[in-house]
Amino acid sequence: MARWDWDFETFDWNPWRELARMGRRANDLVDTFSGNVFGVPFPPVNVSCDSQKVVVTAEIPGVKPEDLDLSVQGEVLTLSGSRGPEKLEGDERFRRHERGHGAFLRTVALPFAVDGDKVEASCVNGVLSVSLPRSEASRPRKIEIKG
Amino acid sequence: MAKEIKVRESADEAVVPERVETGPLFAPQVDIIERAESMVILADMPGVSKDKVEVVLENGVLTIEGEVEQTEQPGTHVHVREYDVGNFHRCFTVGEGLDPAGVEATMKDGVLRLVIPKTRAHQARRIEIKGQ
Repeated sequence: MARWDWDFETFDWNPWRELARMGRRANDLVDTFSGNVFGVPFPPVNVSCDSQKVVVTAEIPGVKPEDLDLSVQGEVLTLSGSRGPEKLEGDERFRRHERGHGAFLRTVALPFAVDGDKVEASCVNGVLSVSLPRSEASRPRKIEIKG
Repeated sequence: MAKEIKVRESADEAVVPERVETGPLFAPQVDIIERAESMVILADMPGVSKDKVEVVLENGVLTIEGEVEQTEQPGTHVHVREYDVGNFHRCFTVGEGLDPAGVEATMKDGVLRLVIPKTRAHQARRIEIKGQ
């Protein structure tokens, strides 16, 4: 029996890697977006925060608001939607096809728990910006030391 | 069969020219669709508003440029950074087949859509068959 993580390496099988792979496969069932930008799944996101809130931005050019689904729970933001390929009519042909299309799903881990009721999101020029204020419960508390 | 319009980029890849200004510069991803009478080019330029786009078709070269506002907020800590924000630039060599006068350009949700008519010499023509 393996006692430590690295013992698995001698058998060339690591159950933690299997679990991670299964997690990614589950995502792949929904995430069929055809093009990867910057080597990450679509859409690439930036997450920045200060002590009061987290701001998540994502580049989603050409995605209409009605094709986008945003939900948040605890410390996870889920972003999903789809961008249709251009429908070709008649004898139109693609000469070059670099822009990805299809369904996408991304979960973004947030640095702290946020208040789901106070989240604000806007999408301007194809850039989605979500502002998530920190939840009361996750606010750091000063601890008094008695003595 | 219409004379095929080849849309080529210099050295067959997106050319990012030498510049004097600083900051990252990106080549937008494009879809190019050929129709019988025009070419349609779609370019992904998120963060670029309508008034910050420049399209030039001159001497057989099509240049697309887009300017993006940097929205980095001071005082925030960057947790994850999967993409960089920068201006867009891309050139295509399209030869003499496209007519700059009739270009229709629209910019919506960060996607630039150009419909450029082909010059008459390059359009497909229906050939009438005379007979009884």
